[in-house]
Amino acid sequence: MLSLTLALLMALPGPAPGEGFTVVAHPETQFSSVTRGELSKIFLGRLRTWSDGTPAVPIDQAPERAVRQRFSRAVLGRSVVMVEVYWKRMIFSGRGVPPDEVENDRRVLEFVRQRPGAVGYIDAATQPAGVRTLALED
Amino acid sequence: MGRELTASPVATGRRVVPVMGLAVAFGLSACLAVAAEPASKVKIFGHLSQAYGRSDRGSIQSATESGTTDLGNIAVQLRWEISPRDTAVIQLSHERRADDIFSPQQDELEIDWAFYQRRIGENTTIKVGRLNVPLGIYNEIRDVGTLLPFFNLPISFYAGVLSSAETVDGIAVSHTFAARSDWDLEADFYYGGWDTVQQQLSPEVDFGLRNLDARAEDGLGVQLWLNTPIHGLRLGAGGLTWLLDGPLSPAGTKERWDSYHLSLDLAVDRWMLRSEFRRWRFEQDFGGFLNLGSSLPAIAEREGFYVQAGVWVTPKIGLFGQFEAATLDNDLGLPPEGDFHEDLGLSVTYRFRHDLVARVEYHRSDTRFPLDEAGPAPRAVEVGWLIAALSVSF
Repeated sequence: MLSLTLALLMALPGPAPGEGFTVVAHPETQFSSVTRGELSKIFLGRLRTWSDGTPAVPIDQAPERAVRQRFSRAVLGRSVVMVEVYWKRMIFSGRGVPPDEVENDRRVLEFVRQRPGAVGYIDAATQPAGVRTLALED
Repeated sequence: MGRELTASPVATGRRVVPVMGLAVAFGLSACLAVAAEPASKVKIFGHLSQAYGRSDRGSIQSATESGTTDLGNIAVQLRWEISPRDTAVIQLSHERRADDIFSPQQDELEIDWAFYQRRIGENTTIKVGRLNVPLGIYNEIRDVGTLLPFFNLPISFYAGVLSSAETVDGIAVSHTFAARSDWDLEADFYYGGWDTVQQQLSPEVDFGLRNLDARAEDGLGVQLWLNTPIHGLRLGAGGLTWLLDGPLSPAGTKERWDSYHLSLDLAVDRWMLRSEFRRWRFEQDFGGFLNLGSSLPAIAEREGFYVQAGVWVTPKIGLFGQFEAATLDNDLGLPPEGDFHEDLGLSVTYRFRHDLVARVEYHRSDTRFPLDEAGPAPRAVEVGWLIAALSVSF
């Protein structure tokens, strides 16, 4: 019974357990989860839309923020510095520019609430008010 | 051996005006079509490198025997995001290369790129104008010092303007297949022409080689990248074919150049391993090159590869090594033939920040490429050379 309860709890959408951040999306999104690979491609500019065709609008946090460093390692698979190097490569090959950055969780939530298709991340301790949280799947 | 930096007007190039006109026309029509889209944005980026180069014999890859600081580049990029689907990009650049047979001296501010890009659907883009050429790992970022493990690209693969293309005046289509898959395939197709040079032995000029303006036409290329589920590992392949129209080609003829290449690009966490192989087949009139006064057409083949490996031993200090080699052959058996160039290089990079990098590198080359008073060495000689560089981007 205990294992069944645990399994049910793990299946529910919510913060990425133990990773220190919560993935948040526009409140009207139809999705309750996103794969790590899809989210990585959205934040690296390699996917421009959600699977239902809605334009994906990622919003990043400032490089020095601890939550950005956790998200970068856990989802993008590299350090913040290496992500910045990646974006320099994209810029100077004329292929794209990085997502806009904001300075804190509150700004992320404001942005995500207002922009259909928006997706961001906030510290796991921050209340995700007025947005949809997305479970992170492998 | 240094040359003065001179302030000069922006070079237009022979074909850039109509290409720019086409790009502007596309851009204007896009503006009208997307007037209701979210507000447009203009962004400015740039990069700058300044280096010192010194060799122990002659001039090699812009390192000179007496030492030179006539070695660096600067570029400024203006990117106008007209709408989520439409972008116009212009990049101006200036480059100093001391004495380099592969990259003829650039004395002016040049239009590096000027293109309009439209995104079609989710995974397709079209670019029109003067475009940077997607060829291998480094061709699109060949001057961005903060992104390179060595100041110069491996000439066995990238070869400079003489036998490759940095930009093309034309059109490009990019598409990503299976974009949501862990195994997605990025494909770039491009068509157009570019300014280039032909070289002729000329004892009366410095280093015995004269560069003559030429034009590459009907250039058609493809670059494929297979991305894998392993972050930072991708496999590439591509090809490029073009016709060279220059003063050394026999009257009424153009020389056919073909090349293909393979790439391995692995950059995982602190580790980097990159290797590329390229093979060329081209027509060359040795009568023109040797200044014989008569035609002597030949089919030539060239192969080159390089391997780079490195590690960031700390977040700020990176150690990189590189080996490259090239061979050259022709069906007339005329020199130069056989082993043409080998180079072993080591570099130490200090990264103050991701956009500010200092680098010192030392190379030992066994090569015909060094220039002395007699021109390129008739037989391969050993040359040691070093470059110290500071690079910044914004």
